[in-house]
Amino acid sequence: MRPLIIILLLITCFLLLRANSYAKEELAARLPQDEIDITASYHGERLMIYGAVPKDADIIAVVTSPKESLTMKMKGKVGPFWMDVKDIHFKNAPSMYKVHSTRVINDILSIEKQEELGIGLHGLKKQIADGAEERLTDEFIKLKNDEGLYSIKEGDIKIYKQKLFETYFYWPPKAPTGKYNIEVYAVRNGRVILHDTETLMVEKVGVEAFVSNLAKNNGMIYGILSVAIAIGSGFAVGILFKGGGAH
Amino acid sequence: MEIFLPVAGVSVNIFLIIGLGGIVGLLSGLFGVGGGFLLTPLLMMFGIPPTVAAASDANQIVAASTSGTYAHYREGNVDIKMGVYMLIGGIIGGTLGTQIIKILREMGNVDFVIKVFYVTFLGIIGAFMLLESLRALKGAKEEEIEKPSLLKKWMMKLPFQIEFEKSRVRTSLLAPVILGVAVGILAAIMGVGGGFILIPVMVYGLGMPMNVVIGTSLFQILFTSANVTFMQSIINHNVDIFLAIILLLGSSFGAQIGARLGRKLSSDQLKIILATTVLLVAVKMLFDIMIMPAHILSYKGGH
Repeated sequence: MRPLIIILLLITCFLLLRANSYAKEELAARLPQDEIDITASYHGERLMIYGAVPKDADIIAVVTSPKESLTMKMKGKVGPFWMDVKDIHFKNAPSMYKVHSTRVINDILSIEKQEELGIGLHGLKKQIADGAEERLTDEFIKLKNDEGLYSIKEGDIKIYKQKLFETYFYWPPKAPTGKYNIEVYAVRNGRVILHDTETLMVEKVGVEAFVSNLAKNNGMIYGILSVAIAIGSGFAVGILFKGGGAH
Repeated sequence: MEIFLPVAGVSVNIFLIIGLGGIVGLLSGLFGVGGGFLLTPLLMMFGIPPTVAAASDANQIVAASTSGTYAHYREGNVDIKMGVYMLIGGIIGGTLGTQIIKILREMGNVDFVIKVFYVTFLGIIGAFMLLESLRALKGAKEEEIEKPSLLKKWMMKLPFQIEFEKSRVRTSLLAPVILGVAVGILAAIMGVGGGFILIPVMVYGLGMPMNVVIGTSLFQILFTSANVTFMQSIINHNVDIFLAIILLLGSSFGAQIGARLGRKLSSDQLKIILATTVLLVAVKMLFDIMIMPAHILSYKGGH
């Protein structure tokens, strides 16, 4: 009789533990909104991303915009002058790329793994490089970084009571419109144990959408309108000065 | 107060942009230049993409030059006859120039050549104007009228001699057309409105008085910038009307103040200030190509 009870007890304990650990192994990344509306007063947006943290796991959150194919001009020194010497193509560069993590990414994940998942500086370089010289990839990242479109903040994710993580991402006004992916990874012992994806749309609304659509789709009307407004206001100010001026 | 610019895709401070517009408008009313040489790089410094900066600037110049032309017209300082002939030449030259630049671009890197060309050109014009007007101020006046330049002598030999009353010159109607073509080609190649090139041509080439030169130049710039705005809207879709409106709020007022200020200065004083500005721009551009850039990569497009 006794061994049976012990075995039953053990099984129950095991099941309970398993259930318990399942309950803890959750990531559930959340964004407070799934859209950023660009209005006339828009000057960037700061958004919080939060979720549950599995026990003893590190969190890495990656925000990426759609990739674009870009042609850049490269300057070189010729004699005493700096001039554009050639065109450089980046076929696979995201317009915006931001990574936040609980601590130094190299301590969380191996470089191979970073490259594979497109995480951190190594992952970013791997995506962009695509045949381009390393020095130029570095220059490209530096430019984007200075524009506030690329950033890697290690240690920027805060964990509360070992249960909840939280971090703020900033969309600068320059961040292009479109669909952004937010990938959140929970990593333990160098292995990704959980992964969650959220998406966010950045779009122009109201008068901003109206003007940019008109510019894009109705160049003729837009051009006439622009010139007419300019001539009209030039005259208006001229007449204003004639009326009010001391003669 | 910040406003998001729909086409440029960045947000800017309204008052800062109005202020920039005001300064450029002042220059415009004072000298009869568009001011794109100054405003486009400044706008780029505030994160506005180069092509959008150049195109919206052209739109803004339409307002400043309308305002400025109107102010000068009331003073009787716009020679419309001369302006129209030069405009005809300018359109022909602009079309030719656009084709030339297309061919040059296909041949390889020309941006740099253009910059060097521009710097040299501005440097020579600026230095020449400065020396000439300083000499004139010292008392060696009226000397030039007795010693017409080679260009003037040649123009006097051309057929269709007519009187331009406002400018107080008698020359062939072909003269402004030919000069207009030359300015149009240069302006298209250098990617600027052409005020800087046009003014010395009218002063030294045609021998027009400085105040009429300024008014007539503004009249010309009004048409060329309206054309650029229109073409940019249709072909490249990069005119930001919000940016242009904010700029023109400043520049159309600035142009009026500039025109008034100009009345208080003599022809030679105006020339000296203009020549100094031209030289400063040339020096600045020279520095730009000699100092190591912060980034060796830049986005393609625009000047």
